[in-house]
Amino acid sequence: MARPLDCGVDAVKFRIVVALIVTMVPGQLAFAQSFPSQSDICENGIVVKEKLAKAFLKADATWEGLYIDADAPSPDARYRPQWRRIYTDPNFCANNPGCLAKNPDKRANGKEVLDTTIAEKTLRTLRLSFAAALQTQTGPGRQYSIANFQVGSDYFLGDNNVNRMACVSGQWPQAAKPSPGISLPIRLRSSTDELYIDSADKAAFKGAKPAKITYTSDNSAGRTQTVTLIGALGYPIPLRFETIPTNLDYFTGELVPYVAANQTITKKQSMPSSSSASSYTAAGAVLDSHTIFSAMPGVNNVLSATPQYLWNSHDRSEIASVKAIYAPWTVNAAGMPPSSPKINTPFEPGGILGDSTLQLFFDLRYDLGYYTDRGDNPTTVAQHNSFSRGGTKVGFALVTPGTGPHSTLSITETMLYGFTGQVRQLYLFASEWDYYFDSTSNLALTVSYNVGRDEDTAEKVQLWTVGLAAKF
Amino acid sequence: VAPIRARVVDPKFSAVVACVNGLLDSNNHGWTDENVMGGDLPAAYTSITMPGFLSRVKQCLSPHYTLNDIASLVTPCLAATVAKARLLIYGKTA
Repeated sequence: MARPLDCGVDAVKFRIVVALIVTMVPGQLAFAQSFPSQSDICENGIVVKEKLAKAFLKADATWEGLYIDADAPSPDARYRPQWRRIYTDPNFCANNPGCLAKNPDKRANGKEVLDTTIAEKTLRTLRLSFAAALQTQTGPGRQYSIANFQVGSDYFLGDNNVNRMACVSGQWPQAAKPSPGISLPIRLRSSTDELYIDSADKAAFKGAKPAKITYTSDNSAGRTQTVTLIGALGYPIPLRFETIPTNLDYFTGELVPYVAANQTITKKQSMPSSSSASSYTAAGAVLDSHTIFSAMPGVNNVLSATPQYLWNSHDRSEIASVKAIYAPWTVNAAGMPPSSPKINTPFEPGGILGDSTLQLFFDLRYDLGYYTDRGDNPTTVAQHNSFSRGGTKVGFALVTPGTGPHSTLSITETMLYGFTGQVRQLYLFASEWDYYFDSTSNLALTVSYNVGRDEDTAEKVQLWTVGLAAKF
Repeated sequence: VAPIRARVVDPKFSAVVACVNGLLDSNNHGWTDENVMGGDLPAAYTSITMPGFLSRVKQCLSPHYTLNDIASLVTPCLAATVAKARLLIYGKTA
């Protein structure tokens, strides 16, 4: 458990003593050190300052370089030896030739001036970094404890018992090293709705449904073979914006061109193969934007628009459509318990679910479609009217802890109202259980059951699927 | 050359630490400084949720401090440990 720090103005009374005032800190701080393991720096239950000091210096080549170069002994005995001086001496660079270096920002007679600017900057980052580490690496749940964690780099003054840092006994579990997984520049999902989720986003990726392919062969009464393929394959193209409106905290976007298929093809012996009524192939692009308004922090508003052209494999009808989806992804404000529900964002509800993560899906969606070809089936041609439908998709995904094989149970319900078109009310219940073979969430055994009407074709669906699935 | 001051208070860093810790306490069970924000952190952040977290940090820091350019922090923070993420945020706080 972390130290209980509050975010309010009053709460900033937790004044950490850090090594220096930072007049200017680099925009990209490339350091943040953890303390070494106890076996490296502990003796008789306490931290040996010299070992910690030197181990910390080795974490950054510039720190170590300054330690080696600027080895002039301190005139003040309390700052000696050199490993102590670099952390504590306020006059470290005074009369210390090892601190001198060319200053690219200062020139005299066209030449760079030798001064201590670079060395002092290095000292600042070293001492600030140590002060930060001292504050965050000690305390409850950490391997080290110290009474005054605000002491900053002055910790190194005195012997090991001055500002004594204890090595806390206990076993710390080592996280299993995750498998590298499949990393490809394309995305494979069950549906286009989830193409905006990056496979690098592990938490959200685990809740996404994989593409699947199954094959069955029934030889009991004449041979019948069935192949089912459900998936969408996209290529993400990031969209960057140099400037964003002042009332926004964050705004970015992405374009994901894709091809998608939902095919169930059955071949009976001595008969031509046939597709199910909801089988189709489609192509299109997902244009999604992520927006956070300054007035509403903690909510990433994901809005996607998906123009698509669909070819129905069963009746040869063709549909040009646009699907718009709005999904808010929320982050709790300070002060809320971590088990409190979030929308679309994975969280750990705790209780009987333990370390499993839960994702509560919610979006608003609107489909607009136009039949460019009503198809060749006389019984359905009359029903193929252009449509506009609006509604929502809700549901959840429960993901077991994923340090190894893990499973995901996902249940969603899509509910759309048809303002125009042949279907007044469209419902689709989709349930799926996936067992992933390792922590990468790339390959799985899948069992799914869908019933209702397909959102893209509005054709009736009642489909059991058992097979192999993949996403990346 | 002016001597380096050894012991001073940096309230900006205190504020960053307080805000980040407070938000982690509200969103992630049992986090530690060694957890990677977009990796092994319980209920880890993603490129979709990290901006929301950073906007919460920005809200927490205001009106005394301003967290600038959240977009440039998203990817580095996802790859960073909690300890490093604090420093990255500190570096973008004015």
